[in-house]
Amino acid sequence: MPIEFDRISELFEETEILKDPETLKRVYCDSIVNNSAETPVAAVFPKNTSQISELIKYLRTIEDINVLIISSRTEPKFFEDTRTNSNIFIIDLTKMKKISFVNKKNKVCVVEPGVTWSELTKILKESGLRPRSPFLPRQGKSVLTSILDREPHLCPKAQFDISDPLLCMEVVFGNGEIFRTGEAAGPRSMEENRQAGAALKNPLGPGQTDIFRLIQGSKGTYGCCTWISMQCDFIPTKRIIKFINYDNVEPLADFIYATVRRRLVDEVFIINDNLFKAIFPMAEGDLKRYILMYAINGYEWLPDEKIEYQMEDCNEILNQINLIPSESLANVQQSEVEPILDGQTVDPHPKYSETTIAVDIFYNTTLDRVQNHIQIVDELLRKHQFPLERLNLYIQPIIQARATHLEFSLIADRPGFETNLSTAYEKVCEIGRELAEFAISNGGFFSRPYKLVKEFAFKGHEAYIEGLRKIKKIFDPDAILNRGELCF
Amino acid sequence: MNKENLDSITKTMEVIVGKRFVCADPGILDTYAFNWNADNLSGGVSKFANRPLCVVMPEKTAEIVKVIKYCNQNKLQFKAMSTGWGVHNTVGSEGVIQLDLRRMNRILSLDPKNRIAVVEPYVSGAMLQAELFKYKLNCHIQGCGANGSQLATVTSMVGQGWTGISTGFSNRNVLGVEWVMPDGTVCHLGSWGNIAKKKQNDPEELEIDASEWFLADGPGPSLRGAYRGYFGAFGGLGVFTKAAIKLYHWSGPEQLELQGNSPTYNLKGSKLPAGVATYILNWKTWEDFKEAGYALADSEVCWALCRIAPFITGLGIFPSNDEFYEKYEALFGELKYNLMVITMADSKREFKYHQKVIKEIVMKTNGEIFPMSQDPFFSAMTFMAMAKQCNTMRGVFRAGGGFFTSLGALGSWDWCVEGAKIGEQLKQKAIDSGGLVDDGADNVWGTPYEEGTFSHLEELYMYDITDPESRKASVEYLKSVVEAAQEYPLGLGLGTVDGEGSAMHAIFGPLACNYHKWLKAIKQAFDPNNASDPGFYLDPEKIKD
Amino acid sequence: MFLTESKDLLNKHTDDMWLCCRCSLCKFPPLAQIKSHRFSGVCCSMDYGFFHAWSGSGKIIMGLSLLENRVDEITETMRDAFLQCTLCGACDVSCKYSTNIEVLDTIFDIRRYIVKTIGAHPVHLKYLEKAEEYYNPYGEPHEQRQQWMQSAKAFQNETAKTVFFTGCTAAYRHQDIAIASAEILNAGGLEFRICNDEWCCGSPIYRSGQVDEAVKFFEHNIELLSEEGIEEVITACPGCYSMFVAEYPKYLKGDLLEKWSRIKFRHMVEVIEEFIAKKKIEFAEGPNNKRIIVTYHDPCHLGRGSEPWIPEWEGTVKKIYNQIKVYDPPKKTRRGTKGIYKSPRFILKQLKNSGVEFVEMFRINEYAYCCGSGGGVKAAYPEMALTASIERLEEVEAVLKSKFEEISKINKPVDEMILVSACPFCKTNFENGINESGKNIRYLDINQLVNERIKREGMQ
Repeated sequence: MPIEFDRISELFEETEILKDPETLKRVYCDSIVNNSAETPVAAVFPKNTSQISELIKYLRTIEDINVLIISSRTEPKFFEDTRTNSNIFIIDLTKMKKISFVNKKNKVCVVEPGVTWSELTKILKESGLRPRSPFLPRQGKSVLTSILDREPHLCPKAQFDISDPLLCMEVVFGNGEIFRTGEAAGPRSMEENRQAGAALKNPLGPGQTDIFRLIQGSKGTYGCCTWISMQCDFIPTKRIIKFINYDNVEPLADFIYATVRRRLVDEVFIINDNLFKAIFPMAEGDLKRYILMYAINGYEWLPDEKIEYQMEDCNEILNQINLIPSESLANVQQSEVEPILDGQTVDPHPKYSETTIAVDIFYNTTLDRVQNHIQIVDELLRKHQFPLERLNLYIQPIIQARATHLEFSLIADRPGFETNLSTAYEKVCEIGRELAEFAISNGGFFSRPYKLVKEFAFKGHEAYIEGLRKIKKIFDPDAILNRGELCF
Repeated sequence: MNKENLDSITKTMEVIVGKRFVCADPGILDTYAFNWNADNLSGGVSKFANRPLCVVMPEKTAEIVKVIKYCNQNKLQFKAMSTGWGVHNTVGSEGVIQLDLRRMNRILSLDPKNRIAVVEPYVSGAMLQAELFKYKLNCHIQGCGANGSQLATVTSMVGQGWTGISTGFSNRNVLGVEWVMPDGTVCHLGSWGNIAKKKQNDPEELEIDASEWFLADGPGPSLRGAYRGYFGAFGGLGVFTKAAIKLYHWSGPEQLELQGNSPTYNLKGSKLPAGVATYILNWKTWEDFKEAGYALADSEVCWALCRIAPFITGLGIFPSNDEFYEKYEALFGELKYNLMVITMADSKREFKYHQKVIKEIVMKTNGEIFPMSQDPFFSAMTFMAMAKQCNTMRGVFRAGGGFFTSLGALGSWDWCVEGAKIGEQLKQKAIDSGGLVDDGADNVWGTPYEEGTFSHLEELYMYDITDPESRKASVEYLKSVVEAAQEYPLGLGLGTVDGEGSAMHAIFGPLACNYHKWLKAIKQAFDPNNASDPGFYLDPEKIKD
Repeated sequence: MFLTESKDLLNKHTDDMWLCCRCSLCKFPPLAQIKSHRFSGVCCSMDYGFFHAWSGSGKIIMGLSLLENRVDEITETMRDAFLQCTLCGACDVSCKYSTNIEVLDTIFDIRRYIVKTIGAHPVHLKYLEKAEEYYNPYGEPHEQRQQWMQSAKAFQNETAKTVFFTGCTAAYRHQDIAIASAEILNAGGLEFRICNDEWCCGSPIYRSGQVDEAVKFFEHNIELLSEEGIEEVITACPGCYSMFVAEYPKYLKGDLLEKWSRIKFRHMVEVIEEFIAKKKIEFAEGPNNKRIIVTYHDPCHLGRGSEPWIPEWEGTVKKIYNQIKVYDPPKKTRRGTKGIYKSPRFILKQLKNSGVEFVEMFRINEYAYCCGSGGGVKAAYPEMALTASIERLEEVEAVLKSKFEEISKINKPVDEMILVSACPFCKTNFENGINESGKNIRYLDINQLVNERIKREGMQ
């Protein structure tokens, strides 16, 4: 049965419906790497949850419909998602931009899907808060999507669980029913609970399930998330940022292990020289391959003394490892780094330029395996004659440095801008797949599978896949949501 | 069930686990029917809940798989338990095969660098901790004490704990599990899943390396969300046979040297280890207490930050009720809204900072450092009790033998304190009628977790379990708690735990986004034959669509 | 068999049964004292029987089950669950860290109830038959009881007021312990004698639940000692010692109780401690100058079991704070901590200059692991006794080897690793365990260890 747009019009105003194929193609299909995605049949721009709920209930009656939920509007597009299906109907949440609750005392806020990192950072600042943001989020990237994607954030000591900073959520399942997780579910209304002091801090339940964990990471295949509450942090009253430049990851890893377990450093991560120079154009001179940046923050309670003792304790650790920190590196000062730690991005973004585009392979492993992985990947790249100066590395310890997000960003030539066979986009994708295969065989784990690595990510997880499919049948019985994504 | 059928079942079980590890003797089975809080479920009449059909004691995952498959094929039910404390370990109805996982008691692997341990079900907090201090590591131990199972708390139970400010909440302390699903499928969650497949076909031959169990979630959505929420499934959704547990930094010594004899163990010389300070901080009003709680959580200086009411503090410290009676009022009478704080430091400068912050917060929130908490003997015993988690039983059970929990919020600290006020009022009524121990009415216990991610406070209560009237009072009080949880804006309180699962869900589901319908769907999807005992989980047959 | 016997023995403990909350603390040492994952259990019954019924809590629960008529017979399995228990008291200690429950008393009274209801275990009945005929459960001739004295390089004083009470196991199975004890007493200058008409102390009969029958033995021994004008009794057997100090007074009445109260009872380790403190004995190098590493096993009856008897409480109970019971006068509780723990350790430390390196095990003092032989288990359930022995020997081996490695690093030579204890019954079971397991450990009674190192004239 084809879509009856009259029915859609009952739910949405005219300005909230997009049917023009050209506009649809331009907005949702044309990407710098692939223009073959099927044009959607329509897109809608809901402003509230009940619209979405009614819409989904209706779309369930449409045979072969494939509903895609979009929250980010990043340009240029270079996504590799599943838009090879036909009969795509888009629910575009980018206009749901409310930040409806900011509570400094409880370090929490509530955001709708269309809120971007820069928008959120600005609003939170007014309340003395900052978000727990990922590294260099792209302009237009949805906060909610980042968090649902389990993107790592910069402060491992604050991350007790992979789901952080996610707290509660509201979701419309693929059957159209509305659900709220954690304390947002009730009993009693959120408003009543709020009057009693609640602040949407408890993500668990209700009862004996954590549905939020099923929605997170599901890439819109189980439901459409319409808001989340999320953990925030205070803006530090004082902060010290240090750099360590070294040619081997291992001692840097030792530093991270020793400090994060003792909660001595706040934001901490490692990038390579290529990425450092891409982020900080003012950087000059030679650099050793790896740059570790760490911050020590002071807040309300004796911030100067906190920073002082933590710095000295860190220095003791560094002495034992024979590492020397510096207050600046290659002309880059603390002031240049600080905005990045608080959720801001850079422009131009290292992942793309007019002639290049990043092919990202990221996965999880442990920090003590990273050096070995990098060495093997270097070999792999050399084998394919891929220039190492086009490799960006981002190493982010997560869950208090018990695991690590390891990201290889291969800067490829955009289609039409090829300079070399080994850096052509398609070739680099091939290299990326080989890299993914290596990762899997050496203890790498694709907690966040995406198209390039999908074929590898699910290998060996048959029982797990079966479980996910059971959940899919519950929440999206007609399989209308993002068909083909993940293992569905 | 007739004898012939029972014999057939037990014989099959004997083939799977060995004759010695199966028992269907009613007297033996009664030791599985009897449990803490069974009296509340029976209207105060009996400490026995349901008797299982037989008890089976497997040693390996493969044996559990066989038992489960047999149950599915023969329309039987099974329920696993590990350390087995609490009526939620009992079978939900007669005719269920009880799996006692006592033989699965290995610490399979430790990775001190990445701070991960992989354990089997019968590894308690005390057993694990005994192997961790030497690596400068510790684990989160759930509130009931170090005799509880580490695996059960992260997969199947609740998971609050005294040191939650630094060691988190059990739900969030898992990095991987081996889950034998209700149909007998073995599912490895997380990073170990793929490696497991690659290594061997026989799961029993898999070599366990904790460093491979670093993430429980994915690929894609996390099935952790299917098997538990605030509470676990209490055995209603299969069996967990391995779990990777997060370990935390321990600033203390490799071994805590003790002196004395039971029940008055203390640290040797009543001396706190270097870098450790303990406090009981006291405020006169809920408001100041509340503000201080926020400040202490935000300050990041606490290793333990816990509200333990004066009454239970006294019961826990004194080795007998007689001594408690003699000394409690004089020593603890001035305590009102108090918090126990322990700081642990690795360097002198860190220690100095911690103490300055504590004092600053106390001053700014109109609090005081309770003088007795600085007494070396008391201070050392407090630290010992918190580090080893060894005094919970004494603090809550010795008074009258009857103990349970009631109301309390899990969320913001503000909300928790509101809950505490309501709980206090409700309990006062029950105390006034004489049936419950008069603990001052305010007996909330709880803590902010993870430097303030969320907090919880729960209203504890005690009664004389040997006195039928006191037991009745407990039953009546719990009924009022279930009503109050519906009436007051406090979230799903813990007093609703250990109720018959479906009955509780039928009440609270409609009040909370009909979560019970989704729970039912999950149960039906993963357990189509309802083979996993749903007694304290959800029985699809008892929940209307 | 239908349960028609009076349930008074069960009724007495109704409160204890209700107070149990199945926390399983009875299976482990007090939590604060768990120092090792491997050696974290304290209940040898559980380690053999596995099911909860075999624990202290389990037995109490089964008692309640019987009391409430939830079962109408005591099956063989139930009987085994009750009797596969050495009555070591570890569960009692652990539970009492946190509660007021009289675990051991309850378990023992349930055992008595079982014996009354279905009779004693056939093996235990045999004990009784032999003991009634030969005054010892081994069925050995009574007249040979004190023959060991002829082999001792020691003399007795027929008029001494101190008796060395041999005990059946030392008399008939391990005379070397009795001999060593006598030689030590001589060396320390303590005059003693032995009683030819010494009967079994009654322990094996008593602990198997045949209490009424055992009392006759108590009465005989006290009567005998009193008639002989004895003021002090010394023994090398903890089984006997604990009977004297902790169990006899529960059942002796009237003037017999009075006679008992006039006798001082001591174990050999207390006497040796005194000898050392008063410099009545000194130590020389060991035989052939051997250097040994030793660890010490606390016999249950010397430790937990020998905490002196407390008369049954009498007074008033009242409730405070609505529902907490307190006692006026305050009730004293036996927690197993006032037994003999320090004396043997003092002795072993004094032997350091004699070439003895002492290392503690993980489970010691009031939370020591049982050797597995007491409570009638050795006779009726030899497999369980052996299992417990080997479990304990694993721990022995672990600590001795660890100490050996530590000492080897500083190049001190070590000739042997030895398990020391102070109980003839433990000796039997440990030696069986050593043979069965093939471990490279020797067992030595503390009296033998001390005796071979006492400095005597003519020694080099």
